[in-house]
Amino acid sequence: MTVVAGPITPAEIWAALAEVPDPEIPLVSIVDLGIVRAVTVTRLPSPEVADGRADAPGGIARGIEASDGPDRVRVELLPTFVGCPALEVMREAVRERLELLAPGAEVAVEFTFAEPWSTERITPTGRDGLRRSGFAPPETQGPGQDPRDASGRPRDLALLQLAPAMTCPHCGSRRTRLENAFGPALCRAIYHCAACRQPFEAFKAV
Amino acid sequence: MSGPAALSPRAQAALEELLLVLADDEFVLGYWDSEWTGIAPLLEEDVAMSSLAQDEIGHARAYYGLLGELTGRDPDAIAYDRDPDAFRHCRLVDHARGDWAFTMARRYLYDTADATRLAALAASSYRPLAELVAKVRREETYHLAHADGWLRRLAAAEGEGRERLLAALAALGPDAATVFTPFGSEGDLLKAGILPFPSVELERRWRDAIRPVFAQLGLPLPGAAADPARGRTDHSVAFRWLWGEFTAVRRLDPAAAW
Repeated sequence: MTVVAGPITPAEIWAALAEVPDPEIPLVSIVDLGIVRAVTVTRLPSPEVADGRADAPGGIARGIEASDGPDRVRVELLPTFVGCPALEVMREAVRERLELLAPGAEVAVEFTFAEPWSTERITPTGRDGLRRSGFAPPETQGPGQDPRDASGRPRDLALLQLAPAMTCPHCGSRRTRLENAFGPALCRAIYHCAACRQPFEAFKAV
Repeated sequence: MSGPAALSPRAQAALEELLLVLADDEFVLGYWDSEWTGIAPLLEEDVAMSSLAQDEIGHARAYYGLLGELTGRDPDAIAYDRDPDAFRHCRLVDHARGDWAFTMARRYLYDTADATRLAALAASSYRPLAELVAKVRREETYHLAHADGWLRRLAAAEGEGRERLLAALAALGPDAATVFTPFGSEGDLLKAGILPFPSVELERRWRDAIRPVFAQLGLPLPGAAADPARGRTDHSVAFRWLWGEFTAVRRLDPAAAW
């Protein structure tokens, strides 16, 4: 883990957030799940700068550099499901990681609905991590079923539906069927594989 | 309007009423649904009802959260520290859980009505509400598919299943349209564009949406609300019991974290 002493950059924050796992799926980070929407860093003026004394002789001697105010870090997260009980756990995990990365920074972690989280936000790495964790990633939608239009806005809700069969994350077979549109977590459905005779969970397309 | 600061006092008061209605409907229905955890007729449905309940109570929490931003009140306090008479859920969700057919009939009536209401609110001028509704609608799509499947299954069942469904629709029919009970402050909501269409128009759209399904299944379409003016007050004995249940922990120890 990196600990940054000087001014912190958004890239460093993104890298740190990529080390924060989903609370239930340790192989997949919240970045790869597409939960992190935005990171902004604002450098607050130090009291000396605010007083116009940053360049005063003595400033450096007292070990205070011109840009030595605290960083204000704001992270926007998108809830996967509105009622997801893991939201507060994620918020705390992000806060803890960033306070470790940049001690003294002001950290604000906010959930927003400014855009709806969609399974399309899961990265290829995230999809691979889901598979390795025994979950079927959401099926890639065909061109006619792209849930987002050209400008990136969600399309008609009628396109949201569960596939009758998904690829089994254990054996790769397509001989599977939907058992239950609801599962042990709000974001998942339950399927059964006829080839390896195992049940598995799949991420619901939302 | 991007947030609370952009609202006139009249529009804010009306919005508070709307948010309370949206939240209470989801909250109360979520608690009724949660009663199936452990006793649903199939294991799959036990999981489904628990998941539906968690979704609805989560939606309620988000609406109470928007209300909290307007009033400065803690969402938990809004949810758990009110007397039963201060709740503004509709009469449709005021009934006790009932049997499985009753639960599915109510879910179908509520989910279709709520979908009509949310489709309108997705274009609300109050941006925090429109954004939340956009997310909620994606989740409610799965609820609607679940209720739709069960309505068709029960309607097609011979004997007891269909009989129980018909009995449930007879009991719930007069209260189904209370989802669209007009607000006292509806004029202010319409004027501000917070509610893009009047309740009577939403009720008409809902009937247009469910009419072909009911006709296809040979089911009686719900009539007009029995007592629309009191569609969100005068709560039942059953609700008062539920209120006692869902406030029990809070009343025991208001500071408890759980």
